[in-house]
Amino acid sequence: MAEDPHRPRPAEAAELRRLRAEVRALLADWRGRFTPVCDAWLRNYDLGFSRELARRGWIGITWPREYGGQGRSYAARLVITEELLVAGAPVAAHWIADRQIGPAILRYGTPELKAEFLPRIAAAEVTFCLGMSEPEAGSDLAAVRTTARRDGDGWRITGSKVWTSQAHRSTHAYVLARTTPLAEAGAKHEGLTEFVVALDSPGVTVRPILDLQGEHHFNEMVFEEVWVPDRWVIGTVGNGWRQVTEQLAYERGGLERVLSTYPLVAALADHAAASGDPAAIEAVGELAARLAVLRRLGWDIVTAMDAGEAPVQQAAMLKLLGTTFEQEVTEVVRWVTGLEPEPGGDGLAGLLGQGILAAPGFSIRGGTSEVLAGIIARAEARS
Amino acid sequence: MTVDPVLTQIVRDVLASPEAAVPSTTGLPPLWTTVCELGWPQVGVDESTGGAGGTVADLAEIVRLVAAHPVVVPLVEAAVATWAAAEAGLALGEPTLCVPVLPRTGEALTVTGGRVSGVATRVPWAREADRLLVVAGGRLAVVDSTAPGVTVTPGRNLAEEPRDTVTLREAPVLAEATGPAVEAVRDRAALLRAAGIVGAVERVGELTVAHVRTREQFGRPLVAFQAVGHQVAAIACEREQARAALAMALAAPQDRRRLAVARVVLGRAAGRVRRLAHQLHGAIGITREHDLHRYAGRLVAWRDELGTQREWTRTLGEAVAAGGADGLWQWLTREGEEHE
Repeated sequence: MAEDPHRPRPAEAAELRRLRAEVRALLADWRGRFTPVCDAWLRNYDLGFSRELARRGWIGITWPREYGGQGRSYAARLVITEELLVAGAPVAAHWIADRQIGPAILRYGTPELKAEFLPRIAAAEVTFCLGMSEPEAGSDLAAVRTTARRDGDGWRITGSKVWTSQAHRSTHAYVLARTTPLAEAGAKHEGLTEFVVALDSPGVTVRPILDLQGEHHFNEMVFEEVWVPDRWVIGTVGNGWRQVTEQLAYERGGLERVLSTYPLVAALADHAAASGDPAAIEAVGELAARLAVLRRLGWDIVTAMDAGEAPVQQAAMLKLLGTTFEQEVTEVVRWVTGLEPEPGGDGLAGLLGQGILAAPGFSIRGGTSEVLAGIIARAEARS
Repeated sequence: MTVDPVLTQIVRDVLASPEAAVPSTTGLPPLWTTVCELGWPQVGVDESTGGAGGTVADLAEIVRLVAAHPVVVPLVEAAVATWAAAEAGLALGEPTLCVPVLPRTGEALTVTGGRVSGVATRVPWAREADRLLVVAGGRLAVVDSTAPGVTVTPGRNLAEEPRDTVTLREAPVLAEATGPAVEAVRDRAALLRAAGIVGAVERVGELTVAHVRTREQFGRPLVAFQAVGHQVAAIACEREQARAALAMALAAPQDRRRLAVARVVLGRAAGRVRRLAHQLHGAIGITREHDLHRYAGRLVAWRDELGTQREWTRTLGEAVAAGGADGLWQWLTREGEEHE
């Protein structure tokens, strides 16, 4: 990754401790106004909460001030995100834009695109969903069939995207589309382009897809000749593949790949403390040890990002390990407590139901474990 | 934890010399003489108390590299004895080898009237030691291993390393002093053993990658098979967790919870890496002709030494579960302080 002119300044310990205390105070303030859930970053949606964070400057915190950010470090962002995830707070509205689309626009967008979108993302006025996967392109992302063809001073996008979480509530979508036909591009990684699409544009249809919990966060987005102005191209036409792979450190390297079931870990710790059950205490010991190290790997990633690196390999490892952990948490808690999971129920049995029904998705979304293992294996074989 | 890369290079060079690879026929290998001449067992102990200076992280770095070497030497034991004696202000003289004798759970060693009694099992390298540093409650006692009343019965661990039973019947004490408690001595050894596990994990990983890149079946190197590649990735993931766990523990060597984190995570990594490495090596790996068994054996032996993986899991659980969810998260977020 080349030198990033927008690289935030390094964090100072005292400033991060202060920030952590502020986030905890806000969460204490909001106690009772949201229900902590597993997988909150994808499913727990409250634009009001996102706007509260925005008022404090906690969305887009790493971005320069001129674009609505605070110019702070990725470490500062991690303090905020991990506290919110652990609380199971309703962060789904702004998550994708804050994590990856804002940074992609900041890195590759024109000054006009940055000025147009980043301040509104930071204010939680604009929310994004991710138009990457398609019915025929999942792990093989470069196989996307959605096309964009030139039309005057803009583009016409046609195709469909699936598994788009929160598309029905987002104002905009990030869309990866083919701008040069495969036959002309020569290689499938060539000829792809990244776009911003307004979801209220004519020709956009969003259809719900219910998940294992019967919840509606997934959607299919269908684009029929949807017009997008030229200025909404992110970066360079045809350079989409290189740009999208650079998003992966952001997409895979965060602690949401470790903490999706943290509410269950927290409940298990309370159960162990209250019951004194030796099996529960040992289970907490094992999970705590793993979590401490996974969290450290997450911190190593933001340290690298603050140093201007794109730690794509480490991010792949963190996601592979972290999603295994968050899946195993459900089984450990189930075994130790002996509870029957109760979807929609109260307390631990309800959380367990959520966790178990959400778990299969952890190791699929954002790069399957098989894709990640392939990336890691190739690097090992080269070394 | 910052270790001078010069130290790492020196240790690598010493271990790469042909003399270093001469195996022991009986007793201590020739490498042990070199290790002692270089003063490695004195690293991590202040020069003012007879040490060679440096930090425990420097010592751990040496232990990590030695653990990736085929020849086994009692470096951890000698280094812990040096440290404990220095803490107690005891002079060890210049023994060929002094090892700590630590009571395990349920064992008791007592020093009274200049004599020491009791039984300690699974004592590393006792048979080769000319001096024993007996850790009894808050007292440390130096005993000549050939003195009357000292019996050493050989035993071994899964890696064929000496783990002996030391029986002391009113054995005469050469010198004694108040010193670190049993737990403190054991924790120091457990931390160094953690560094050894990381070294062995790394070596097993290297051997495995080398094997799957060169071994061909069905006309292709093994690594070209996706199922094999994924196992290689699993080993790499365990290795990175192992390194991170060790780094965290060495950044705060007095923090017993971090030591427990390291031992739990390293125990898991040791078992997984050994299983995966053997699977990928195939039949050649389960012979003594192949080098794998040396390092893979260390993994399964060391993960349960100086506190079993289970005991460390319980230790951590008891320390962090008592405060419930709030206590757990408070503790976890303190873990990140070295970054903050």
